Amino acid sequence: MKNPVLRNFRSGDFVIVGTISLMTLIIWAWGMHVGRGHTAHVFSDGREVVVIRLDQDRQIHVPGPLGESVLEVSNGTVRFLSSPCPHQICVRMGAISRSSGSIVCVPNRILVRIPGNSSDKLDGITQ
Amino acid sequence: MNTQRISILSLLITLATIMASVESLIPSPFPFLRLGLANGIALLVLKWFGFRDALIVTLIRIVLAALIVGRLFQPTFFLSLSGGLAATLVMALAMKKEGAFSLIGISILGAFIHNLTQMIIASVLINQFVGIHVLPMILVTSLIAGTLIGYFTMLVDMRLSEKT
Repeated sequence: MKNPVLRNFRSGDFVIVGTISLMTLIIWAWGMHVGRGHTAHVFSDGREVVVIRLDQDRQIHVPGPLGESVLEVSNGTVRFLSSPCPHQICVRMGAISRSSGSIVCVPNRILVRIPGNSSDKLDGITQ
Repeated sequence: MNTQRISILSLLITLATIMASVESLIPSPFPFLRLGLANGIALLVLKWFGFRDALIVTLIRIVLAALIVGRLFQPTFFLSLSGGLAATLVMALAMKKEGAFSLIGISILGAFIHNLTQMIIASVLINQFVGIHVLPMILVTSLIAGTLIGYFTMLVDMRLSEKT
């Protein structure tokens, strides 16, 4: 083979690429089956502080170690409108609406999570 | 520890630090949406000098880069620390399987482990499971970034190995 990189390919490479592709497809297909959520649970520093209904548009202020983060509910989705964290990653993560969806603000220790259905049994593990 | 090895390692640490610092300044919507150029350096060191040196290079790179962008001992620092160390460890294990993987395969594996570890540590930091729905995105970005980095690393390795 002319391309020196292709010549270097090993069987293990195909195993890795294959496994990752397969996992992606399976989880993605599983995600498609999961519908929209109706409520969002808001956690601050690991404790659940409020449950929001996603069918009522409103804004919620959630206190964290750095200050208040503002959540916005609109059209069945929820997102971080603003947050006192330095990198604003949570704001840029955008809105979620599906079951098992979550957005996180690590610096302000706030997690917004839409609970999943029967397959969602993982809530207690990291407690 | 001869002079050549010290100078090559210092050069690579410098390169990796610059890459990591510049990369972290590029805005990205997700923490895992990064190329991870510094991972290529870790891969090179792993191939040329072994696990111990790769671990040292990764450790110094992460601390220096965090110092430069000013996030030392912040949550994101521990994320990149855990991700970098786990990735180096797994890549070293993959490298030990002589001939089973090329640098591209090892690089993809490293990228995936890096992101997976960060996801797990983020879950621990906020005391809640982040969620499985980010996994497909992590997998796809690892595949793309890992392939690119592995390809470049392979080219660099081949060019430089010819000359020394």
